[in-house]
Amino acid sequence: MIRPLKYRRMRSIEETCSALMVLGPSARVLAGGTDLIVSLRGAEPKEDVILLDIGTIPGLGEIREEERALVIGSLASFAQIALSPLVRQLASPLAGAAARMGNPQVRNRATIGGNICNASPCADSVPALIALDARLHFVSTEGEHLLPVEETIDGPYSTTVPHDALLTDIVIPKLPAGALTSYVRLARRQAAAKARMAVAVVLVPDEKGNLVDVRIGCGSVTPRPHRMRKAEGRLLGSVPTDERLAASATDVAAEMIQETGIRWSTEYKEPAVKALTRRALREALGWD
Amino acid sequence: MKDFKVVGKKVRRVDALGKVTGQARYAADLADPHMLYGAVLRASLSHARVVSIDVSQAVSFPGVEAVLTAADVPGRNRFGTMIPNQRVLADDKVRFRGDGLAVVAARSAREAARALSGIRVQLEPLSAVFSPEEAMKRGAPGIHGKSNIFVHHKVRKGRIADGFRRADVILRRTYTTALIEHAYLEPEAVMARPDGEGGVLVEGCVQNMYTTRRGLSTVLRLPLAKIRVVQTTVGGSFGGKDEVMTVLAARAAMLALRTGRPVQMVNSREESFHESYKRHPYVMEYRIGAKKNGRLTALEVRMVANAGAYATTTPFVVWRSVVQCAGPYVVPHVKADAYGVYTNTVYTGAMRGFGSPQGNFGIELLMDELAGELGMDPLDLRILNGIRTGSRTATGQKLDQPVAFIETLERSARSINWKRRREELDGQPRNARRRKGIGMAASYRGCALGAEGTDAAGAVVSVQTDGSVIVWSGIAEVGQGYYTVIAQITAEVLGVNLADVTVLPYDTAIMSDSGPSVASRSTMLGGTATRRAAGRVRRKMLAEARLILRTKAKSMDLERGWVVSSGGQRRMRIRDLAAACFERGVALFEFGWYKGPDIHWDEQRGRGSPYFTYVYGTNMAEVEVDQETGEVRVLQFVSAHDVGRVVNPQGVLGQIYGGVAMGLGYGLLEEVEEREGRLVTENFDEYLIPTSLDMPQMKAVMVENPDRHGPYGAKSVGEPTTEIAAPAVVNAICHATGQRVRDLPANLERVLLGKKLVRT
Repeated sequence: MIRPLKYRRMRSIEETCSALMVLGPSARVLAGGTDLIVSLRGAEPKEDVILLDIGTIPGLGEIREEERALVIGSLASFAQIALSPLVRQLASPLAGAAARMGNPQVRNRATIGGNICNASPCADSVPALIALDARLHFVSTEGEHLLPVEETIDGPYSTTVPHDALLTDIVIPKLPAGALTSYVRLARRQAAAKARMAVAVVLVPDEKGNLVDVRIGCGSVTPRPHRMRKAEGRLLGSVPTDERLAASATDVAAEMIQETGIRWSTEYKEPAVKALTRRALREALGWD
Repeated sequence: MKDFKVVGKKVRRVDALGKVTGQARYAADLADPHMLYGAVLRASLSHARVVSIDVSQAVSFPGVEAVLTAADVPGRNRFGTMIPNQRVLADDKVRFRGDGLAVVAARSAREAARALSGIRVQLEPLSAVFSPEEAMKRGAPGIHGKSNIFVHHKVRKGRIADGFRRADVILRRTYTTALIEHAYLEPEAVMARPDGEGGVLVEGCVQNMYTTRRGLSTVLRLPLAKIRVVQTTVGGSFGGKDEVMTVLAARAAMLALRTGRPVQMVNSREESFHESYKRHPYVMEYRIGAKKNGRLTALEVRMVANAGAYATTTPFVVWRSVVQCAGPYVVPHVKADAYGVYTNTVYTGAMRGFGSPQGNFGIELLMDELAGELGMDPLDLRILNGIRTGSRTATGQKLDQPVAFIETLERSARSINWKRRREELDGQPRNARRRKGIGMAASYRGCALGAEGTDAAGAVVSVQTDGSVIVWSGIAEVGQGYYTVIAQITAEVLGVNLADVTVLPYDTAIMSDSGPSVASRSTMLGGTATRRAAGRVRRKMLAEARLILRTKAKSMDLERGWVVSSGGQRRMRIRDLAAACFERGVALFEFGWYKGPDIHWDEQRGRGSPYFTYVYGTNMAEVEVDQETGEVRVLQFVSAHDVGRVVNPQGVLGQIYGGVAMGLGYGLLEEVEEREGRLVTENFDEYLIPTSLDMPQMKAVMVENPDRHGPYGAKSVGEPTTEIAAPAVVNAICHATGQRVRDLPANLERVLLGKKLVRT
């Protein structure tokens, strides 16, 4: 049974921010609702919940190309992102992640903004956004901010976003010419399954084949999603070889264990994340 | 044999339209302007003495019309078939966390849920036991009585010591299976209405109406005739809507009789997970002996089933496991023991397969391991030892009906090109990242209830004055396609179109007690009863037709809506004949009853002829295993089954496809996780069943092997299709990786590491 709720339909970003400010923590932003509505089932609430539906704010779901970036409105659905020729062209790992998230019904409803702000460790868009060095555009009563994803999600289901801020756009800088990308995902079944782990990769080689930029983002690997800098450093400035890829993958596994400690699942996740990372790197290089 | 007009033809399910258009009415769709909503307060401990339950505050909550506890049960608060120890509401003790303590009826669902917080319960914790191994130990906390071992069935054949003495190779292995959920789409729902005369009408997604009615009669202290159970459309059951529905129906009926108003109770998915029974997890220890040439000499088996908190059908489930423990193979010496054990976990009971998926998993993995040990192809080992017409089973029964087992093996092998494919795949590099494998599993299965109880069922066929036909059956449609089968049989016998036949819902007020809709018995028992009822009507119609047409011709027939003479000449429309019968005072309303042949089981000696006939099947699977992550893709699957006679090919295909899907879920994904009696898996976000994208290319092979007992020779198909998919796919995984997986499910961790990782 869904708890009794109050519901308000928002007409603008400004109205939403001020409502968030005035109502405090009892106000929750409703976009696609695929996480929020589920969380509202069950026991009676401790306090009233007021849903602020931003679904009808005009323009929030647009995907557009700017001179130096791809800009995705926070209300863009996963289906929209998966099918967008712009996203496929300019942010291929994100299109891949979007296409494999949930099932068609969920992809039709779920929004990228909701996926980021819910901050689940297995959020499908996040590893891709990390690898793409995406910036998040927030509007609050005090103004506007542009924050990297890494500085926004600070732990499982936890963000640094001020309560009155609304995520409006995801800004993905255009990749340099010749950039190579990939996204690999492991799940327990082929559809409607949370990602057990995911790895997104962006590699930029120079004309000699030396990698001048390496970015690795992982899902369900570290409590706070971030680029795997040590693993990236292993590849930076040199021509990739299979040995180097393997070493980089080992670094990712080591970084995971360093941050999470040895958990019940480590025995599985350590070899699996190594394999996935190596695979993602090989795939980006077109070796597989 | 004459050509069939409707039987054996592809037909659309008679209940398809309502389901696909959303018009079918499920119990949760029922409404009444005066109805109340029921809610249940469930236990917060796994094992505890109930000290007190105080409802005095809850009754004054807004909207509340009644709050009842075990003290309000009008009759005996114990129901069940063999060992009636299940409670409608906990009285002396709480035995698992799904136990209900009190029920509320209120004017809205929300008010009912709120009132639960006003019930004060005092429980005194008792030490609890969660694993059967612990529960079997001397001094373990007793859950019902002193000992938690409440079932022991055995099979004995030959002299086990002799068998092992003759063996060149002896293997010992242990296999385990998981606790799994039926995962029907529709959670349990029921509406109970007082009939104003002290009786009650219950409508709901009940699988076994007569069983539920018996339970209600005990609990409500009402004669059976005062309780009417009518089935609503069932959104899946798979054996799962028996005892849990009796509990729900009894609670709703108690509230309805107390308040004098209709009461609806609908479980949420989480409630369904917590309260509904599951498939028994088994621990199975085997010792098998064989000659160097592969001939089996001896088999020793010990199975332990975790029954959870109540007995329910465990005695029968465990019995089927032990009877079929040797699989479809001739073994001269067999010693098998199977136990059912209480624990303080969710109770387990009937689920599609009913004790066979566990045993088949064990014996079929064992056969593959034995083949490996002997250096034999697993197919050759099975062909060598496979049962044939005239073979004796593990229980000593001589199979005097035609046995089509080898045919299912050979046709599957041909379909997947077993020998060549296996050789090709053996040639793959051992350490390839992705490696393919091919595996198989086989079974034989006793049709219908066997020695569990009297196997008989009834049906009524009634031809209306316009020639349209109504059929009532004592066996339920639970999704298996049974109503379509009996409509086809009726149309075949009466020479009418399928569209002229309507099967009306199952209603205990109309039909004699036909036993439960289980054990893949619907078509054999109910189908034969229907054929008999229709046959009686047909004979009456033909007799009248002869009088009307003034002919003595014996060879008249009913065909395509007409009375036809032996030359095929159309003499009279069936609808005119039906009208004429009415005018002549002849009722075209007949009852058919069919009791299955006698069987024999000697429980003391552990031998006998437990079933009157059997079906045989083989499954083969090809998989691709990611050796770095443990991911498994099932690439192709062949499912061959002796079904006796195909009545509706679409129905058989549906059973095979669905059975394979369920079996693959069992093999690869499904497990209800519990921690100290607390369910961790309580919805479909964590409990994963296969999606359409997980399903392989499937090839269904229908082997027709008509049986003298079934209608037109038809036997069973519902359960056999799901009981060997898991061992086939696990054997394929093992072929791919060269590592044995001996426990279910073969998920990512098990396939990669060979073991389960336990969440802490």
